[in-house]
Amino acid sequence: MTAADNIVNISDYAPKTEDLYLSDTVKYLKEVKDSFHDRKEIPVRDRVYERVLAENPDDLQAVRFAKAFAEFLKVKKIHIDPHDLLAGFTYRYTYNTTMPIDCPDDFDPLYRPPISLDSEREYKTILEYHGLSEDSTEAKELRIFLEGVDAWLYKHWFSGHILPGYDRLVEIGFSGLVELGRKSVAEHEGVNKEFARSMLITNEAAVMYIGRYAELAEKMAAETDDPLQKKNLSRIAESSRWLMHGAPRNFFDAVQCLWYGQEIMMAENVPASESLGRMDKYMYPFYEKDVREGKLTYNEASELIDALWIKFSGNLHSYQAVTVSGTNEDGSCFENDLTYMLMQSSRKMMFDQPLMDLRYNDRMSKRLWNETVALIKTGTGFPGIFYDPICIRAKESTGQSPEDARNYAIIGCVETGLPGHEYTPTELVHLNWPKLFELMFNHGHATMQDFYAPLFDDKDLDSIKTFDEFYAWYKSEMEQYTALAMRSIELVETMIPWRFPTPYLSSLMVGCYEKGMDVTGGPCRYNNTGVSTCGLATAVDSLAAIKKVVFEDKLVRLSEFTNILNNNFAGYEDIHNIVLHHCPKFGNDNDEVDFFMSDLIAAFAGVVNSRKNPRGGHYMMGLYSVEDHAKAGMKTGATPDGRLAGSFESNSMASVQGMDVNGPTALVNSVVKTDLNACTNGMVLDLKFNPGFMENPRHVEALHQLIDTYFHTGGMEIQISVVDRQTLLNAQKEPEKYYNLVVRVSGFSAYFRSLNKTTQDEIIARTEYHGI
Amino acid sequence: MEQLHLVSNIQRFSVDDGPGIRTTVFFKGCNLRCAWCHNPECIIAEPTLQFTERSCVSCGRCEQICPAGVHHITEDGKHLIDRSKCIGCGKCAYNCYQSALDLNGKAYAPDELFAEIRKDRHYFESSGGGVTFSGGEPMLQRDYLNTMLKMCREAGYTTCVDTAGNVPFEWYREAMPWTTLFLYDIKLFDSARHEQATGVPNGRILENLRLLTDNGADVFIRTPVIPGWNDDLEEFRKIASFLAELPGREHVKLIQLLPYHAYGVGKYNMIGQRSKTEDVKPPTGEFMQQALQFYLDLGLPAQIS
Repeated sequence: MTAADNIVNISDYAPKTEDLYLSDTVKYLKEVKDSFHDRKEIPVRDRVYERVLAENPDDLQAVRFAKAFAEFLKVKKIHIDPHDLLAGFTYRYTYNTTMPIDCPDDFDPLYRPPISLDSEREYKTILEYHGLSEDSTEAKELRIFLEGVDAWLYKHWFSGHILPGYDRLVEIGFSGLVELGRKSVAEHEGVNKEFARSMLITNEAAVMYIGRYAELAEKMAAETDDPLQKKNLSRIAESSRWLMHGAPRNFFDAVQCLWYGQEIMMAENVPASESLGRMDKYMYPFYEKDVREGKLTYNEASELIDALWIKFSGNLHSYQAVTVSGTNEDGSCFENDLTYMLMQSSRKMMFDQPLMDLRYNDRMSKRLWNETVALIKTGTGFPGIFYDPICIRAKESTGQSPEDARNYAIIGCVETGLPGHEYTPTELVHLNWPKLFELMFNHGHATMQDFYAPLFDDKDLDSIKTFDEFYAWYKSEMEQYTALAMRSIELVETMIPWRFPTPYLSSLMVGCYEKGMDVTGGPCRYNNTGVSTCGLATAVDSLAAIKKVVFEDKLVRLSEFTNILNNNFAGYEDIHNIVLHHCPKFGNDNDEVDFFMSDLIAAFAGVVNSRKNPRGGHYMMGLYSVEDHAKAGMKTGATPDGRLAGSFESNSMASVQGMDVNGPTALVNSVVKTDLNACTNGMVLDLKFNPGFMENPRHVEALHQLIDTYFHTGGMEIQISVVDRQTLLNAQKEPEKYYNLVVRVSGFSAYFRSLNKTTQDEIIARTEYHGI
Repeated sequence: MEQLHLVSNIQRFSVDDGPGIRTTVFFKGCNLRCAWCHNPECIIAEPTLQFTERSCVSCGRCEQICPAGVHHITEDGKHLIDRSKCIGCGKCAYNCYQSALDLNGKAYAPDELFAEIRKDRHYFESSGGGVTFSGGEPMLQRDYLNTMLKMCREAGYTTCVDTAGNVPFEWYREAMPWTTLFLYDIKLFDSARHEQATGVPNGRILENLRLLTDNGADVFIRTPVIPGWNDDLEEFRKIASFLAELPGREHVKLIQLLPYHAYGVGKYNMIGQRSKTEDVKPPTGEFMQQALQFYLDLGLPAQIS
């Protein structure tokens, strides 16, 4: 092997997927990976935690959790397939002991775990922690908030949604963390010492856990007669032994260490957006050194990345985001061999994990763009494309230094964070905008469930004489329900380090050992909180409909809308026809209705930016809705735009599904009328194209120009779904035949089979652009 | 009946009607009757009622609302339409809950149309695109067209006119100063066959192309390839020779051979007509390559599009 063999053949054109290197080992692993799961393992975690927590009632909660975690790592099942290139596998577990959630202890690991929030437990825990009585104003608001979560006025989640400092982990290894931990315990006193101890316990447990893998690999290597298996297992064993005491020496060590880091992360945290950061940046030094020394080729490295992708795939639907490319200090585009290799693995594997995100730089090479197109063409919805100048500007607007802002990576769907240095629970709250109409037309009562939230300004509907008055009312209720949620999540946030801490995650975040604090308590360089939205265009179109039929055409009185909506338009088919088909809709480049969007978002941003969070950080506005526009829609009554009760709402910043009839440029123009610089927690714009469109190079060029113009006129994120309607309809009918079909949902992709029917219907209903 | 200025459709993000990202404005009215036309609603100059039968639930609302007695729902639920009575008021379409009815054709004042076109100016700039006037035959509304072309050129957009060539050359001479590019159809070389397929002979069409290029107008030549109508190689050989011998040959910037597609077939049913190419399959790739080769052999800039 000469140095020349190591250099990839560089051409502007992306290689065809079938021409990419795929080893027999990887092909085999891809076939068998789903058989590794074990349903008997699901309850193990919570059982161990329950026992250990009961045995240690007096410790600081973080120490109790750490002890339980350590015990769990001792007994949990571990797995190496004899053919595998890397050790490890993530079994599915429940997390009911460490989160106020409820998940049954048996479910199909190849589908999403059926997790629901236990808001009663959360409510009681918060009251107990803060010493609040049920009669206090705070408790009353908290009850409205948490009941609102159950009724889907709000979506609320903590845990996960982070960028652990994996860059530091591969640099110093677990042994390096243990060293930091010992130093921290020695340096701190009191409760800080206890927090340091909790983290150190988890790191020492991680080392022992890696030792279990070393032992297993040694045993398997000794037992096998297959030379290739022996070689691979011995490499795992040798590397794992080393990683118990030393930092990664080479690319293999780094990949294995990264996976251990992630596998152990899932032992502590619900698999929910534990994201990988800029993998092509922090893994590159290992790759470059090995290649330079003639110890590694591109294909050998890509085989390991393929094997790593198979590891990620064990946690279906878990939003593990990998970020590639970016911007260098001089403004040039960051890219290297790994940028390509990671995207190519996604093309070869076609899994829903990891989520692949590309930072788009105006100076990106033609080759990188073509690689991006090749990935888009797979139809998996990867990569999410983020425009660097606006994303960096948004980070800077929250007080980050230019250097830190430039180093952002993607969390989960579309949120941005500084890996290892920023703890921003991005999913603490979403406000379901369309639900507000239900409350406003019914004096604060929901119609699809027993939920009452007193309106801030309850009005006699017929006293409202102008649309402006109605619009101002909607805006004011929206602002105040947002503010209420923010007051409530402050009670949540301040409780978390003391009731639901995450010591292992903390050990990976810079600042926690240094200050002797749990990551959730605010020790990081940046400590922000996400406040986001859901159902934007559904709400905006509803306002446009009311404006036209009530105040302009005077077809019905405002108060009649109560009946119309509560009867789901039954008996009002003429009004339904008019609001559905003859009122202006967001997404068509219509200034009047697009103004509602930009104006309401500015108002929302005003509330979000009006205060600091309890950890001294910023609240950050998000304009994305994960899959909640379907879930919230199922719990939300009919809306004035003609949407029927229980059906999906609009997705993130998109138009209502199928209502954007003027093509993608019109939709994009509608979107960029909103100032997205204020969108510090991310946004989603999904465009769906027929696969035939992508077959014509001229069309692909036009798509590039479309994306470019979108970014240059104020766009932040865009993603391209390439799937035709008929395929989706077939997949809905015969899921077993489309078992591996991965589609873009919102800020993430998922197996179509694993989505609920409302979400499936929502994706099918989106406008599909053709090239005719 | 001069100058109704009816627009059938404004299609933004058009990527197949000239260079870059374009907004294509489809005018109604045409003086050809091509058997394979994929925009049959644009042949008709008047407002055209479009009916999507599979969306209709035979509720009968249109029958009650129509002032002219166009609609009738039979006892067994069949929706009959007598288009000869239609006055184009659009009331049935507005009141159809299923959107099974639509009235195609909307009048735009030049300022209104320009405001629509202008919306995508950023895309025109980034892609070298602009506006394309198509149809139908946009040249039939030449005063309106010239007004629009002038407005668009003055705003800096590139302008394409998608034309079948069957109008007096003087009309082109008027449009030329404001037209960046003509998308010019040559459908058949043999005039008798041309007349059979399109309703008109092609002498004027070929002559206009000669004059256009001779007068310095840039053109893209577009030839649809329709099995059963023009798919013999001799035709393509002759068209290629004709183009190669044009005095202004250098103004032929691109030749696009467009394989037949069936996207237009369903539209005939919607306007109460039957497509003549229902059973036509797209030409084979092999045939397309053979046809293309004639052009390439003569050094012409041709491609299959």
